[in-house]
Formats: sequence, structure tokens, C-alpha cells
Amino acid sequence: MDDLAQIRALMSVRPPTPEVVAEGRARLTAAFQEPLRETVSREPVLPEPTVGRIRRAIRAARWTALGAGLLGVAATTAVVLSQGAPDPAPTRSVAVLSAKDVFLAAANSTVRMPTTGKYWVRKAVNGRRLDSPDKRYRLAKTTAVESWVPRAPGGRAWTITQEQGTAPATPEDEKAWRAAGSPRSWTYPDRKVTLHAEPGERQAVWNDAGKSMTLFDTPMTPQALKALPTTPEGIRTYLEKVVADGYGAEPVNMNANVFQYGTQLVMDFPVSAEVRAAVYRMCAVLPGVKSLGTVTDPLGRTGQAVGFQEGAAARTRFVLDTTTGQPLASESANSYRGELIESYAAVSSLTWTDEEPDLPAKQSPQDRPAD
Amino acid sequence: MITTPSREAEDAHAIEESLHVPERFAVLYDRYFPDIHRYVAGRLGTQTADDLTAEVFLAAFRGREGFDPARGTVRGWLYGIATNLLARHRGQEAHHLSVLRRMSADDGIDAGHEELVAGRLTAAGVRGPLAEALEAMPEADRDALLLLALAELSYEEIAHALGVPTGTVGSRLNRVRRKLRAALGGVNPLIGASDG
Repeated sequence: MDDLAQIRALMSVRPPTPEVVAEGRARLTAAFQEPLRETVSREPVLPEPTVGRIRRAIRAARWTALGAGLLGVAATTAVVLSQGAPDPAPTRSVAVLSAKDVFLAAANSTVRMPTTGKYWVRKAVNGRRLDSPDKRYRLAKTTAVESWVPRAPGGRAWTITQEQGTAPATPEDEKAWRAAGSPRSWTYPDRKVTLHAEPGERQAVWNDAGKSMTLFDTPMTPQALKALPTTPEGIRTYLEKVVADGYGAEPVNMNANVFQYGTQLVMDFPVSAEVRAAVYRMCAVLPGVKSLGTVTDPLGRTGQAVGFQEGAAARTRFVLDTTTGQPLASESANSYRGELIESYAAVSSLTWTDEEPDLPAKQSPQDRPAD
Repeated sequence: MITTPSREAEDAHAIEESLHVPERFAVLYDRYFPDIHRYVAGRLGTQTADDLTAEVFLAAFRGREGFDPARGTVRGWLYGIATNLLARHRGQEAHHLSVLRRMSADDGIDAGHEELVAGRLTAAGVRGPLAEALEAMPEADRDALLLLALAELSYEEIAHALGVPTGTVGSRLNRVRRKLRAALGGVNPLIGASDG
């Protein structure tokens, strides 16, 4: 990207909502009744003070921020880090299936999932490994997260999270941690964040806005999930649109992105068995997919890992169970300002249910506007 | 033979007509609201932009007699008004830039797994220094640079919008972009595979 494209990326915003456009147009229309001013001036006329009512109306219309916020909560909240680091070089079994074989096997064995129920529920563990603030050892942080999204429009969505605590990542890191005085908390001054060794309280955040989680800013409502294409070509076209909308005019590696968002779609949303099979069949013929062999995922489950050869997706591996078609985990290793940050999301269940969430005492509304 | 009037001529014509038929001004609103909003929101944040963009069009409508097609395009004139109104929100702009800078710096711990996976976080490595450079530069330089980057105006339109000679815009932009690239050159946001 050149400097101008970087500025555009830094300052990119969502387009104004129809409500904002309509509100501004109404203000302009009201001004049509005004007589022409006597004086002709090159300088623009000073604006009137902002009206609070309009601000409130606008705030009520900001819904993509809510959707993104809900996903943000789900994504940042994490459980116990397994010893298995998200290593981009996995242990290989004797007979390595090709990526195509992995995806086709998963597509063919995809077990039918319930498509009825009051809520769709996703239970997962998010993990992160990063340098300690003094950079002498590596820390592992995990969070358990449950997302409950109602089928009925206007129903209450819940995100229940629990920090599982932070600890040295490996036995070697533990030695360095002891040498550093065995601290029980870690503060990152430049990031304004403190991590704690003790697990946190289980807490729930609710959202009544009737909005849903998003796939790269595209809202995934129950209706949108139901309308997903069930052919590999249809899914590819759909994902290309999600990517194009998300990136705007920025040039992207489309194959890497449809791999990325296709795998995220099956990892994060309760798609039907047909949609899941279609995503896998699309991935099977995608140039650039590669098999990484049999691996153990962060929750200790055995699966087949696949990756992508280029783009941002190259730093990720996707683990799936070819015997059931279940997506298990997404693991990635990224460098951020010279520091290696490993992260994963491991899904333990993803289904529709008639059950109710087991809510903790600590509850709060998710009503803080972004910005 | 039928000729299609240029968009510039159409816009100027709409202003002229709106002197007698104010409703004609609405066509300019429909045509340019999203663009002006993107420019204002990029600089001040969406919440401020939602109100301020409407104010730009009100101010433009009330000052429409002052538009002179001989001086430049309606588009450049609208961006000029937007930039003038933005100038009363320098504090908000500084705040917005510092939010952009901090958002870039905070990441790595609480960023979502998806952001990490998508490589948007690594791109953030360059965003902190970029926001910092934008914060630090003189306002006149920032106005010209963002009219080029966000509004994608020509040098002539920027000159019209800012009320300065075109040559001044050219030399100002050359200087500020040279400095900016030098500031960003020291950052290597991507290690390993390149993003597509």
C-alpha cells in the first residue's frame, strides 16, 4: 500500500446509515423555505448548534457497531491453554492426506445438525500466547466464551465469558518466571492492560438490540444464515461479496480471503450441514490450500490441519474432524511490532438449542456505543 | 446530435437553478452526501460526522449564491466548506487521531482472534506511526493531504477548496508526502507472508 492507501485504510469508516442520510436531507429540505440571503459571501455560512435529538436518533441507528461489539466480546474472552502451542509446523502422521482429500472427506461425512431451536449457541475457548511485559518469558492467557443468540427477532442475546487466568506458557517459561520473582499479575503500560494469574468471575453481557454477530462486518442474522447458498460456487460468490464489502476498494488476495472467511463461517456460525459441505467443497478446489497433517487441537482433540500458502491466511491453520465434518479450531501465529503473538479459537459446540443459558450473577447490558 | 453535459456542468447548473427553485439543490445532496460523510467521518469519527455532514450541506445551500463556476467545481467547493467546518473541531480531530493511534497500540492482547487471523492487526503496526504523523503535522498540510487521500480531489480542486494557488498545493503535498513516507519507512508491519 502506498501512503495514500494507508491513510484511507487508517481512516476508513462504514457508510452513513439510511437514517443519517434521511435526517440530514430533512434538515436541508426544511431550509428550502428560507429566503435567499442578502449578502453574497464566498465564506460558508456558520452552522447552527447541533441538536441533541438528532444525535440521539443517530445513536439509535448505529447497529453495525453493536454487532461488531458482540463479536468483539466473544472473540476476546477465553479457557485453559493446552501445552500444544499453535505451532505452524505440526507433527505429521505417516500418511498425510492432501488438503483436497481432507476437505472432501469432511464434506462427505458432515453430520446433519439440528436447525431448529430457540437459540444458537457457540461454546469456545480462546487462547493467546505473548511475551511477558519484561520480555523474559512467554505467557498463556485463556478465556471461555459462550454466545447465545436468539432466533426470534428482538430477543435477548447473551455472551457469557470467564477469564481462566494467565500463566507461564511452558515449563521453561515457568523457570524464567520464577527467576523474575513469580509475579501474579502482568501490566503492559503502553497497552493499558493488566493480566492476572487468578481466574476471573463468570460474567454475562446482554444485548436487546436484536442484532447479530458479523462475518467481516456482514451481519449473520438467522435469516441470513438460512439464505446461505448450498453449492460450492454459490458459497464462493457469497464470500467474495463479503470480502469485497469488507475491504472496499483495497486490493485483496481473493483466494486467501475466501479460505479465511469460509472457514470462519463454519467455525463461528450454526450453518446447515449443506452449507458446511459446500464450504468444504469450495476449499477442496481452492488453489493454495495445503494439508498440514494430523494434529492435536488446543482442547486435545485429534483432527486434520489445513493451511493456505499465501496472504494473511498463511499464518493460520484450520483444524477439522474429517470423520464428523466438525470444525475444531483456528490457530494463528502473527508478528505484531516485532513480537510473536499466537492465538487460537477452539470450538467445543456450535448448535441450535431450546435450552436456556446458565446465567451468572454478574450481568451487564452491552450498551456502550463504540467511537 | 445529443451531448451529455459533464457532471461538473450539471452540478453548476443545479446550483444556478436552486437560486430560484431551492429544491433543485437536493440533487447535490444525494450525489455528494456519502463522499463528504466519508471525508468528515475519517477525520472526526462517525458520530460527529453524522451531524456535521448535514451542516455542510445546510451551509452550502445558504451560501449557494457565493458559488462561482469560474473558480472551480461544485465538488471542490463542497469539500472546501467541509474543511472550513472541520477547522472548528480541531480538538475533536486531535482526539480522534489519538484514539486511532491508541487503538493501534493497544492491540495484541485484547484484539479478537479473527482480527489476528485476518492480518488486520499486523497492518496496525503501521497505523500507530501513521496516526502519530498525522497528529504532528501542521493543519494546512493535513488539510491538503486528506483532501488528496480521503476525498481524492485533484490539485486544482484542493487549491479551490483551500483558497490557495495550485502551485502551492503541489509543493505542499510533495513535501508532506516525502516526510510521511520517511516516517513510515522505518516500520516493517509484516513479517513472514505478505498480505494479498
